[in-house]
Amino acid sequence: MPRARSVILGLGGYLAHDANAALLVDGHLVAASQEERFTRIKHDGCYPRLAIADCLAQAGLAPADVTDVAFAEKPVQSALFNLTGQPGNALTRALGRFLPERVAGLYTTPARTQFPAARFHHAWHHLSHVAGAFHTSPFTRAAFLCVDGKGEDYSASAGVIDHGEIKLLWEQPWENGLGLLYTLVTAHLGFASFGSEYKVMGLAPYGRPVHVESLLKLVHTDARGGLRLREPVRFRHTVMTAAVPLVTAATGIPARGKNDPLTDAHVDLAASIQKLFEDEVIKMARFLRADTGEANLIFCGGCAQNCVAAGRLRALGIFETLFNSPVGGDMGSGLGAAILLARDRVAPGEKLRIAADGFYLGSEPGPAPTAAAPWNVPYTGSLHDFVAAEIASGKTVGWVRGRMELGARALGARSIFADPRAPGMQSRLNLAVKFRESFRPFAPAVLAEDVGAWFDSAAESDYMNYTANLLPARRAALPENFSAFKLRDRLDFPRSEIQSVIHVDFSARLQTLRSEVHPDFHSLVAAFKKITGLPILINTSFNVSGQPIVRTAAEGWDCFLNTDLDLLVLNDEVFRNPALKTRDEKLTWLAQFSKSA
Amino acid sequence: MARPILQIGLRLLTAISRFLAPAPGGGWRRSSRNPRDLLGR
Repeated sequence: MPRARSVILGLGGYLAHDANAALLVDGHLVAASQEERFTRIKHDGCYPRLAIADCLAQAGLAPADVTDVAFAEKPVQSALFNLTGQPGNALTRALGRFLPERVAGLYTTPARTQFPAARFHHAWHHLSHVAGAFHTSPFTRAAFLCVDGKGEDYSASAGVIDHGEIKLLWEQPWENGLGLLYTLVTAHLGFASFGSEYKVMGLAPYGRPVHVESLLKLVHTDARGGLRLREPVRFRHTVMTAAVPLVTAATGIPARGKNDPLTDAHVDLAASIQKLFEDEVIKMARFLRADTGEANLIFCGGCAQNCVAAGRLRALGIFETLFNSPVGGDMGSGLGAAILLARDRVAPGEKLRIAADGFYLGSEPGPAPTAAAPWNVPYTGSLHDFVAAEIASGKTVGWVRGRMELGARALGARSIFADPRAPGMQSRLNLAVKFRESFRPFAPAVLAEDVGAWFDSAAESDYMNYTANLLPARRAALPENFSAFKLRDRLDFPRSEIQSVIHVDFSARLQTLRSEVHPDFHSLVAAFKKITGLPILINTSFNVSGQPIVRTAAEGWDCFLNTDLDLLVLNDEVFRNPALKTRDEKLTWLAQFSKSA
Repeated sequence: MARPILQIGLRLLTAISRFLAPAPGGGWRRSSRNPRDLLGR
């Protein structure tokens, strides 16, 4: 007897941050998208109505076709934790089980209104992360380590997943764990807490980790990576800001205002929190390896987006194989919740394999706006050959082609590309194109077949999810007093042939390009290599500071007009920049995004 | 009428939760959550 059709809509990040939707039809992943790409508010945590509509449109389905809605959170558990300030227990679990769906109130009302005939389900938040990562990984069995800002009432979870059957072994209750500590220091350093932690990670290599001992005064910790703040700091923005003086008191370093200059002490603090973070994650991984004996590890949760820690974890070889999902944070939580529900599509003992197709799961960009037509650049032959030649001549290129990526990183469908050899390219892109801090490094996208000739790890990093180090033979000699240089001088000192994508410590956040995962992007870099001999391009997201990555061709055109990019590719067409606006005009345009930064 | 009842219920729940909560101080604890539970809210 044929099974009834199953249309599962996974929803995550709602009433929190990075609201998202994913659609599974009969166990097949059809589409997934983030609400911020539609509302143009970065990390938007509203009900993801537009992302849902986009997923349904891609599948050719109507809301009435949805049979099940899976949320990546148990809202009653979260609400009770927020109200009582105490982790859940048997009583709160029972309340969550037996109170009617409408008790979830505000949380589920929009979905119940939109999908009145659907069944509703609520997955544990961390297990949504685990399922989303595991079922898109090559593993059939693995240990998992989910380190997060906050689940319902816990900050980390660990266990074993075998063909989708989850054994949840350990958890760190309360929310004030490792993720919250990192966020607290991020706030102290003057970056927006919640979502700017990656800036601290990017700043860390410039500093020396001399404040680790001071930071440890803020926490209880143990040999297994069990960590909790001594003060009862809560994971709320206002409280986080109020807690910043705790960091000042522990370290003696004054908090930095948003627009204040970065001092050496601030840079050293960034290096210190990154070092502490990596050390704690490594302790957790060692504990889990010894406890489970598993060979593979799924590293997920918001903290797993820290690709430097993931790179170090992989290099240490604590587990034989590591998978760090590109959507292991909240932007992929809806996908994980949907997968947890879809697991019964396969027989017990089998793994539900989800083809993520390079995580190009969003919609196509649509046609180029008619306003762009006068600036169309005709070309003959292949688009990839033409654009590669332009990049090799020093041009910067916006690229909007094919289905959009899911996740925080542009993987080659909504990207800006440039030549990493070009002098000053890092500053040019940061200041004149992206309007962001000059210290921020860019990622090298490297042909997978050539990565071993440049970096010390030839293992895959399809989604910019690991760091690796430039081979010593590719490095320039540094002066003995290099570490005493000012930040700006260290940044500008010629360190390698591909300066713009190599950090001051010779690390890089790699994206390795396999033709079967990123066919379009692979073709472009292969064409660039044919011209220059270099199998590497700069790949950075197509947006400006504070703005979500562009989604449509029209948004790409609008962003293009307000930056110093030279060329724009929309689908198969190429356009030149019609007018370079004044800096003030650009900053006026940019101001509309400042509220969401 | 409903509000005082809710407040009393919440205080009771807080007291019970505080009694049942793991001791502060951090560290991994054995998880009692049911990973297959998709019905509990």
